[in-house]
Amino acid sequence: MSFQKVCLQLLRFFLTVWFTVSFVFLLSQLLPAARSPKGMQEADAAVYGSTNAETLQRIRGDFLKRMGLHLPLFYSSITSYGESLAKALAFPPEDALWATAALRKHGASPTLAFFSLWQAWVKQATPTEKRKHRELLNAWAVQVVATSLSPEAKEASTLFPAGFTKSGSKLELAWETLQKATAPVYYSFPVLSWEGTNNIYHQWLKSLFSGNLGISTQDHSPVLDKIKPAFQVSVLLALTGLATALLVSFFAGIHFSQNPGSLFTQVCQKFLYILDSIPGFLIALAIFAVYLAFGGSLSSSLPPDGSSTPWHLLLDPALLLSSLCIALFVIPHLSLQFTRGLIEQKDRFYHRTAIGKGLSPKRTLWRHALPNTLAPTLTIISEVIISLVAGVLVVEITFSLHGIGSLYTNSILTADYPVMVGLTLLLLLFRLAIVALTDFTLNILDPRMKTI
Amino acid sequence: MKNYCANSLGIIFFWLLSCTAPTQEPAINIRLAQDPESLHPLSPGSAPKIQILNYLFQSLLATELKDKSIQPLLAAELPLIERKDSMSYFTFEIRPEAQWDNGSPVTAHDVALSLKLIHSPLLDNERWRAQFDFIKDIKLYSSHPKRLTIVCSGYSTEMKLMAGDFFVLPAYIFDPNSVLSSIPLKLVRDKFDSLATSNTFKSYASFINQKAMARDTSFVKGSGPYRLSNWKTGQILILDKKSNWWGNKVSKGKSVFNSKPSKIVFQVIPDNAAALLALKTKQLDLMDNIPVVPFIEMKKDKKYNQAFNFYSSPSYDLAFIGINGNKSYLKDNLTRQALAHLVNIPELIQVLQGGFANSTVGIVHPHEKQYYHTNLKPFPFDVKEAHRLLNKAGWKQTPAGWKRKNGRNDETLTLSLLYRGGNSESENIALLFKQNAQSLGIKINLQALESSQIGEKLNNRDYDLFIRTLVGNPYSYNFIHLFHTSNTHTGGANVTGFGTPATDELLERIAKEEDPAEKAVLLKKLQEKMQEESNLIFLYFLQNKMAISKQIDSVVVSGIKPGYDVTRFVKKK
Repeated sequence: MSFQKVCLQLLRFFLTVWFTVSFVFLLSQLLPAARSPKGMQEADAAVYGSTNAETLQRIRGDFLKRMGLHLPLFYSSITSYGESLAKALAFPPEDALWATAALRKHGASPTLAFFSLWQAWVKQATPTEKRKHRELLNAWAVQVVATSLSPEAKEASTLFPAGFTKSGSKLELAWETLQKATAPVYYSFPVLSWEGTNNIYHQWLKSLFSGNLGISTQDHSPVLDKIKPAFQVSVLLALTGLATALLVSFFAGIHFSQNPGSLFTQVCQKFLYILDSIPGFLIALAIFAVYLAFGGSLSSSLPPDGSSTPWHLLLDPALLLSSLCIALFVIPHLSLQFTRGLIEQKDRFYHRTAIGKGLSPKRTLWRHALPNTLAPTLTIISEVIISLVAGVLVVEITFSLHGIGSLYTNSILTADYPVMVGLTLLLLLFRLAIVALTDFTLNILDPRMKTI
Repeated sequence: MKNYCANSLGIIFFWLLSCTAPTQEPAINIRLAQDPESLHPLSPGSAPKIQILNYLFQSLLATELKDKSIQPLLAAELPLIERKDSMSYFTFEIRPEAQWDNGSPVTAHDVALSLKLIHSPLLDNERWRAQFDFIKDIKLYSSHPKRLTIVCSGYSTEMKLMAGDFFVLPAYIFDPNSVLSSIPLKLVRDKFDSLATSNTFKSYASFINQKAMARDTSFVKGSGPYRLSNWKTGQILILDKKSNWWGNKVSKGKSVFNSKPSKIVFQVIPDNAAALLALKTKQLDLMDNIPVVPFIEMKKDKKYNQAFNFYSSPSYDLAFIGINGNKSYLKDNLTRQALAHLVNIPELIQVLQGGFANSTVGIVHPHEKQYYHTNLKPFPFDVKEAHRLLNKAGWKQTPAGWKRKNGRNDETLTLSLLYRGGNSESENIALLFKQNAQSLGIKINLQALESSQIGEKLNNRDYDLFIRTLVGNPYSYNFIHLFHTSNTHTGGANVTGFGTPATDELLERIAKEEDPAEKAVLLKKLQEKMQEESNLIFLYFLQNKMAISKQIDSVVVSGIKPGYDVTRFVKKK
């Protein structure tokens, strides 16, 4: 392959990874579970005693600040023209909520007129009055932006907030003028505003390039620390299962193609077809049931001092059983496809020529038919490896193994998004690497690919 | 010579065999549905995490699982309560015997540190800050290191438990360099923002927010009877009883000081089918939250009846359907009452829970005999009555559905019902409700959503009906955050818009009422009002279906989580 082609492929590889992982990251930040403190996600189901709403709001705000979620999400954001105008006018933080709502609904000039009178009034008002009136204005603002307002409530929201200063005062008149005005239509047009590099996505990308995948929200451990042992378990499990499956499929395929008519071949192939149609979780449960029925236990593997070397892991009954399950998932498809591939080669001209010229069937098979079957088999193997991720997940949950699959599911269920995004990146890299490796290997093994 | 060798070998073998390790008591094997992920005592977590932390750490007060009473645990007695102006003062005296694993005594200093950690910035403690916001200060006594007074704002009866319901953490582990110890609690609260920016505190926060605090057996240590001896993530957790636990000296006659098992093994088996297999082959001694169908099958099977005792203990988890009273077409209580008449509660209990649920008329558990309104019955399933109520509310049945004129607008009674996707129980409740509503000509659109998405929709009041489970307890009847009109605004917990000035007053009085007889009168009135308004259609209180091996004696099951008191269990050899 030319240097240019390799470069283009690498570029495509990185762009795919970057787009997908960024997409997953941005999505995860938009989920409500990410923006709520742990244990406070279901406001109606949790018990907070007598803590008032203002304190709860303040605590949620503190959480967002602590996690850096108060920053904008991306470099730019799409807001309405009205909102971007309000931002540019930079209302003081304690008045920002109602002033923005007023500007968006009623337009800039009436709002500014009211706002200057408001600021003058605030200078001479007592702190209690100030607080009370701000609360009323903020409650009005919340109603204005609420989506599910009944017609009566919508009507009421245009009226003067009850108890707001003396009637006939300048402030009330300005408020009435404000209510009568309507913002021009273009205030609700979407507009792209630049947020700068101080945003959540940029921070995440920066840390990613320095090798930091973030910290788990569950137990404060770095994401890489959590992924490494899980990766070890899953790889060991998958490799053992895959190696067993490859060996068995290889010899089964050879035997079936050499003795297509024998009773043994017929029975085995029927059995493999049935095994292929049984769902993976049923196979896993059946193996587990048989193991438990024979008195096995999953807890007996624990070493006394709590340490676990790869050797310990390999002898773990859960791991051995899981590898057996993985092998059983994969053997039917591999062996049947391989057999079919070999039988196909038997019909080829070169095969007949070789036999006709006096080559033994065995030598023809090993020297000529097998290399020709290798290319399609390699493609099937790469497909199987990619689909192993799903099989590994099923098996890990059944046998309570703490591998990538369980870690992934748990991170989604417990809203541990840094781990989830890190794992997505890893699995994506894995998938793309397998595809690239297969392409590369095929190019080397199959001379016909070089001419394409 | 041969004889001599054989004899000596025989003697050696005999000696080796007799020198076995002292026979260990058998361990109790319990199933955990999910790995706790973290055992950090400060950050909130799942039910398995809280269960295990309760064996490792202790609070000043504890709830006795058998009779549901509040008992002093680290405190020597129940607190002395003083109410002055708008503040309340809870004075505790820590037990003289209480000590940490390193031999140092548990003092008021440790309690103060625990409260400071709950209120500090930069830590994963928002949930506790919200819950313990009422604790404003703590007073220590230089002459009595074991005495302390917790200063709270306001007073409600639930504070009698809540003021002592937080884990007391060892200062020698959580503040070895006395960073927080030098700052009074009031200052931590008042100077929250400036503390968050100080460099000393930032490095202290990163010390607290480290992986070792959540997982390492040398950090996860409290004053409780058990210690974490082994944790294989996702598979198994082993708790061993401490050999010289201080509580042994005071345990006589005190049920909250039980620690009978010497070893508790928690097996993490997320898959229900795999867990049932493990139970049936006696790998587990206890499994709870067993699904209905396998539970009924096992109960019928003679083989399992010989090996296990089956319990269905009532819990305080209440399944209900919420109705959005903020929407104009659901604003009047007659429409909501009509919808309540479309729910067939006995059928739901029988079909979905196998009879293992407690029907209820309101928010009080029927087993709380003093407070439950026995004379009030839940609305029966009655399509005719629903029809009559809708007509009374102004709805007219047309070929295109139920319609009503509301001012200038025409309203149609088509409702969306939100439930948790993947939860088959909620799905079945939704389907049965839809079926019943259809018989009356009301169209219901079912929406299966993820839990946090439902939460968001509820927060924005953007829904018609929803199915949820309320997790309750028998200690707190303070429903202000759930049902007071001050919490009906967007973002508040009163998502259904329930409430009138009369119910607000009832809620406020109930929260403060000390006299049980008077409280009962008020609670019964509240139950009547809630049924009248029907913003929530209460379905049933769930029961926790458990199977416990017959090898275990002194079994205590309870409605309080985790549903059983393993510290009392004795496993026969």
